[in-house]
Amino acid sequence: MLKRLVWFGEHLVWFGLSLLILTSFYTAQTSATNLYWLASIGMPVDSAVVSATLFADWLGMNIHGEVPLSGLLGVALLLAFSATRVVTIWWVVESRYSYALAGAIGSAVLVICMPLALSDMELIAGARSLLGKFYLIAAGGVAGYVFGSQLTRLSE
Amino acid sequence: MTANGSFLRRAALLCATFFATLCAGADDYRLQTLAEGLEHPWGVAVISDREVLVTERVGRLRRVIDGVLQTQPISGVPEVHFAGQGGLSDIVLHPQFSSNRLVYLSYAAVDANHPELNTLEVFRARLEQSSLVDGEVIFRATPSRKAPAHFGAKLMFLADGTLLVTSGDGFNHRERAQTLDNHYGKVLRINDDGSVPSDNPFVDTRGALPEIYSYGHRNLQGLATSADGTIIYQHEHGPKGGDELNILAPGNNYGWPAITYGIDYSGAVISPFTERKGMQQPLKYWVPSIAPSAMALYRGQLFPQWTGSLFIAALVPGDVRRLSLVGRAVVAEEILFQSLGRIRNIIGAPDGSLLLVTDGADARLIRVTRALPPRSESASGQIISK
Repeated sequence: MLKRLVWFGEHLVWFGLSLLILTSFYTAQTSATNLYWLASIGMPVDSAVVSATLFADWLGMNIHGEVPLSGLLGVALLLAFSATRVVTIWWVVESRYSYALAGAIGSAVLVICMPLALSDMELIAGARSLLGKFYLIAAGGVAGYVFGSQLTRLSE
Repeated sequence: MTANGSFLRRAALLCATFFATLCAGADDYRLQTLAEGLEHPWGVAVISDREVLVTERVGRLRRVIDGVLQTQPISGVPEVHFAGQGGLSDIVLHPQFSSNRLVYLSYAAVDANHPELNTLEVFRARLEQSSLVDGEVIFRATPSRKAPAHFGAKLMFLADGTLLVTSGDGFNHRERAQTLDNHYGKVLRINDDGSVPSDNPFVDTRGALPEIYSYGHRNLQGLATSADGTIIYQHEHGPKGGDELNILAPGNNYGWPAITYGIDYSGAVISPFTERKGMQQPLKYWVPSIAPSAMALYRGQLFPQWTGSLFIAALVPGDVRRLSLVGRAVVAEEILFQSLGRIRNIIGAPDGSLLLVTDGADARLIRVTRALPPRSESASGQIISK
């Protein structure tokens, strides 16, 4: 029983870490997108503005948004990782890669489905460009890779 | 001496009575439903004390005569793109409507060359009986957009006979409100036939679209002029917070999205800046948002205490804000008509009453007029700030 609890706890911690990584990628990219444009039109974007905005976006997108970003990403990753767990019963592939793919797909579904559900309105500023979408999908891959790597370590 | 004292006392009493009458009049109104069952109404135009035109976003132009909604819509309305926030939007009568019968409609339309895209158009036609005839599109915003959102679409004639058209930022294209090569996030000024007035501020600017009157706007749905026509008031929806009331002037940059008092719906910072040289500050802004949907400057005689006030319809939480102005400053804000839900439009009628339309699929046209003695349906305003 205790072993199962420890197993569950360890997975929860690593899931939380991968979610934290993905959330941070999303918020940082939104900050970068907005600040890059502001700088391009001559607004005084200095290091203090950058750090304050990075912090405000991380907090704001998880607290002040219409839907908390970490909640959305958490659901996306949970569904993607659960599906991967089932698929890998038959499809034997190293966890870090299968979960990286799952993370990327989870992020892609979110990035693509959100505007479809909102009359083509892009709520995440960083996802408005094609490059931004690729970045966010890749971020999902990184989060999945981190989770998958730890699964490998835990199973060893 | 005694006679003088008596005169002063009587004058003071008269003044006090007059002032008390004015103050008491603030809640001396009643709400009278003129029409029900309107489907997503948006624009209102008053032809006479007897006749009102109302647009429905689904693409219908309805007529209310003597308080009765006519079952048959007016024909000849152009095909509209009813999706998201789009559809048939505003209606305005030509300043010489009584002689030329011209009406102007704004609406979202599918881009004929790219059916997956849509844009804002302005249509002009003559109203004859129950039909619009000789209709033509006199303005089309470029470029087209995919998301059916943030069209602006407000219309207003200025005293010089030119027409102001508000064009929203298209939601996904907010940064383009700062460049002059497109119609996103702009106030546009055209002649009554759609041509460009030669005195527009950017007609000689290389690369700028000549219709542009001002820029740096988000989603503008309110326009009004002062009684003498010298001041143009404009309001726009902010994102999450940051709704603005501005005074428009040709060539001005109102800052969106480089400066703003709001944050993004995602909770992200759109801009950490609220001011910048060369970008105009709002006359007033609201945090949290009230979602201003229309505006009228009261010029009637029915409520003398309201003369010169700006009335702003609000979708959230659903009320009307009466702003008292002194010069170019807002000195007080009063909340009115809180029991009606989301209010889509407000307009002054020639008889001095106000007309409101509520928002939604089963909406009402309501007249605000003097309370009948004894008061039956009157309600009280609430002053929230001075």
